[in-house]
Amino acid sequence: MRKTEQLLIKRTLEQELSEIRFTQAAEVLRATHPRNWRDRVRAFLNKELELPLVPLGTASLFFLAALFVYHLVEQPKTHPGGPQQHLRELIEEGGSYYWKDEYERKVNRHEGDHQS
Amino acid sequence: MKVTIKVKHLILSTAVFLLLIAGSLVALSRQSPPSQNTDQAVGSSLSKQEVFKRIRESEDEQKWTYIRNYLIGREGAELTNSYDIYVGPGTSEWSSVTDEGQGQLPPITLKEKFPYLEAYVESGPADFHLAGAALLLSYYYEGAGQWKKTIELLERTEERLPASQMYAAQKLKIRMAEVAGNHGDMDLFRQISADLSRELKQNPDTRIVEKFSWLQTRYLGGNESIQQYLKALKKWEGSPVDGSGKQPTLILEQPTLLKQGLQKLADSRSDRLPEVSGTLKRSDGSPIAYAGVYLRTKDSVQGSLQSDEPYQTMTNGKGEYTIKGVLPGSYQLYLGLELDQISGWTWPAESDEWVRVGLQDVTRNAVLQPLLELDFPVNQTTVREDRITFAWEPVPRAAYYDVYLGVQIHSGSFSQPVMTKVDTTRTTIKTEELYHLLSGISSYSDQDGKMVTDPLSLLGFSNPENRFFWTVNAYDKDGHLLTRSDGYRVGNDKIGNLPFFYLKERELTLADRTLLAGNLDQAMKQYEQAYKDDPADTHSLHMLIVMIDAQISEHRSNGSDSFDRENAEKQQETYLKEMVQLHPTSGYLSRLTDYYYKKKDWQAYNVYFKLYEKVAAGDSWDVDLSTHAMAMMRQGKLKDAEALLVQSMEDDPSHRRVGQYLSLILYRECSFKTARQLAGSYPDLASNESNDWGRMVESMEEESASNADYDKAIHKYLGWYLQDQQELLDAWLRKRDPSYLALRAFTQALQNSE
Repeated sequence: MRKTEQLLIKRTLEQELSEIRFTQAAEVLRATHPRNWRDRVRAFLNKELELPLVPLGTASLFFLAALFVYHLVEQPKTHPGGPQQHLRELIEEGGSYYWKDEYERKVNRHEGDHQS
Repeated sequence: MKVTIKVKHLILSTAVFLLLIAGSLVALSRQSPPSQNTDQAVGSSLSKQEVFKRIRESEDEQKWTYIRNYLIGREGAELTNSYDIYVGPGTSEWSSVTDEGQGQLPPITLKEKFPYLEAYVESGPADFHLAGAALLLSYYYEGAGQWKKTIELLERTEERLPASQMYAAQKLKIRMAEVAGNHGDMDLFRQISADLSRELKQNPDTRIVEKFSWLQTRYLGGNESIQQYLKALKKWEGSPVDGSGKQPTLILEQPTLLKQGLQKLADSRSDRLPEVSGTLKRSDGSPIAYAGVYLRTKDSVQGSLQSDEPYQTMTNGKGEYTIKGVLPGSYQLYLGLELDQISGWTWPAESDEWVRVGLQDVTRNAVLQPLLELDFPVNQTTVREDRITFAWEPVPRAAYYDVYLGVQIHSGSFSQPVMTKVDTTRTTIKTEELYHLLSGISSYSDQDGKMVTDPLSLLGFSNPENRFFWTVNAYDKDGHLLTRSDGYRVGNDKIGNLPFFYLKERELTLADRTLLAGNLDQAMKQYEQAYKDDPADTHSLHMLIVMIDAQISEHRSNGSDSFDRENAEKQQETYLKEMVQLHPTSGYLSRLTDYYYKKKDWQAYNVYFKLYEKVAAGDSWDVDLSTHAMAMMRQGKLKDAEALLVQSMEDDPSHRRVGQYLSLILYRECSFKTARQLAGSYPDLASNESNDWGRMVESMEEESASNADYDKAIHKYLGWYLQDQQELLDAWLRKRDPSYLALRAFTQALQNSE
């Protein structure tokens, strides 16, 4: 490229950019060379990360599954349903009243004693 | 594969993700309570701790629902439905430890419920349950002596209730008036009463009106109001039930005995009603706190406790109770207890124990005693010897014991006293004696719903395949029950030895097997044949007697035409007479005397009664003196009859046939004064009618004032009754002679109470 041509372009450019003033020098300096904590945070927030999708996705899937299982396990502890160990029935046998389970356990222990 | 992302975007998206998870978790747990409620409907149950945890961890609406469902109950809190068990003299009833359709609720004591009820009353929804919770709490505070706080609580609750809950609000007001009355604040009582009567004028609710008028009579006793009330009562009673529109139904619902009490009160002109108070504790001194206490009249004790029991209260933390404003009359004390309070213990009150209230205050304590423990035979032991020894643990202060033996049958079990007045803790009986016991016949419905006679009840202790049980009652030297072996044995440390045993001394005969197979007619023939073949075969003879009982009871329920009852009874009489030759027991002899008593065959009656008396004395068996007195009366031996009745009045606390006793006295000397005094000392607690003999005597006395020949009339008509001139008497009773209304009523009552 010839020098005159270069100069011409330069002049044209200067002419066109004559309206534009660069006033954000301080701003840019803050971004590139943060001095106080606010600038540092902002710089950090705007930092770009490159994340590997596959391992991350697997991990979060595992996390969700674990959460679900925990919920399932925890639920019956606080809200029992289904077969109950507390379900007790009062029965009358031989003039006395017993809890059915206690009575049956005791009878079973002595069952067979009388079989001849 | 990689993705480029700015840190701030990463943070933002993580936050959104976490929020989503948290939100869905909250939504899930919000949803789960309704699903728990459906769990309950199919019968799930919770432990006490779980119930409290649920209530603690839930909020607002859900919390109140839980308190309502678990602690208050469906029908609302009442003193008559808040306990597990209700015991009365000789009875015990366990209420819904299982609440139907609601799943099973763990036993939670009232004491544990109170803080939650307080919370409910303070901030729970203003509904019917709120009133119930406040009512229960009111007994708690009142028992603690904080009656001002009680009134405030009730007042506050009542104010919170919306207009739609008028019934609940009025119940609270009635309770408020009761508390005021209990503590003698009659100004407050009148103020609340005035409020209530204004409200009731606008919206009369029969239940409330009845409660209210009842309350007024209780606390304004001696006052004019009671006289007015009685006047109104008489008027309403005279008028037909419907029609008049002046709420006659309400008055008729008042139990007869309460009315009689009112009358007594009006007559006495006393202006203060007595109170019944006492302490509930165990024999070790520990109090029964927050238990229900109820006073019930004879005409109400047959049924379960009703929410409108006229006298109900709760013991305080020290087990003390007071019921104020009790009308004169006889009452039975009932207790409402929690399972843990009674388990392993018993309240030794017998069915003939009454609290008699006159015009003085009455103290009645209730002391629970530890259950008696059985030693042998227990836990399904088999006895193969021809004698069986029963042994049990001694009871301090016991003078003697009664041993009851029971048989398991299809529909449950039955038991009867077999050895009475045993003064040691060990007794032996020949197994043969057990085979000869007579007991009731029971039937059960088979698969098709047809009632069939239960062979197990016929064979009794003669069945080596059946399981038997026994119980023991201990009595002090005055014959008061001290404790018993049967009761609530809940919890492994309370269960003790099981009272069951097998008796395999004899073997089943061919006829027994036929009977057990359910072929009664065939079995009857086989027993007949066996007895014919061996006239000393007392088992077959016993079974023949029992089988005729079964035939008669079957005939009674089915009404078959082909059955000749009279003939069957004649046949049974023959068998019984043969039996007492071979093996006289008080059972057989009592049956024979009964038979001749009904047939009015006095010659035979006297012969067998003499024998019966002798055998019964050997067995320490109590003979029913009042029935024997009737037999003497019918034979014209009025002196003997009177002596027997005098004895019977002393021995029998229910004073059976006191009316007959009075008729003898009136017939002999026509002294209303003596008769009135005797009626006062021996209130009739035996007959099903609520017979107030004293009142009847008084009516006759009034009648005699305007009737010159009244003593002659008494002699004539009571004479007909005493000498069993049935036809003459019936003709006179039919005539409806207006000058002897009271005498006729008395005679009628005599006939009805035989």
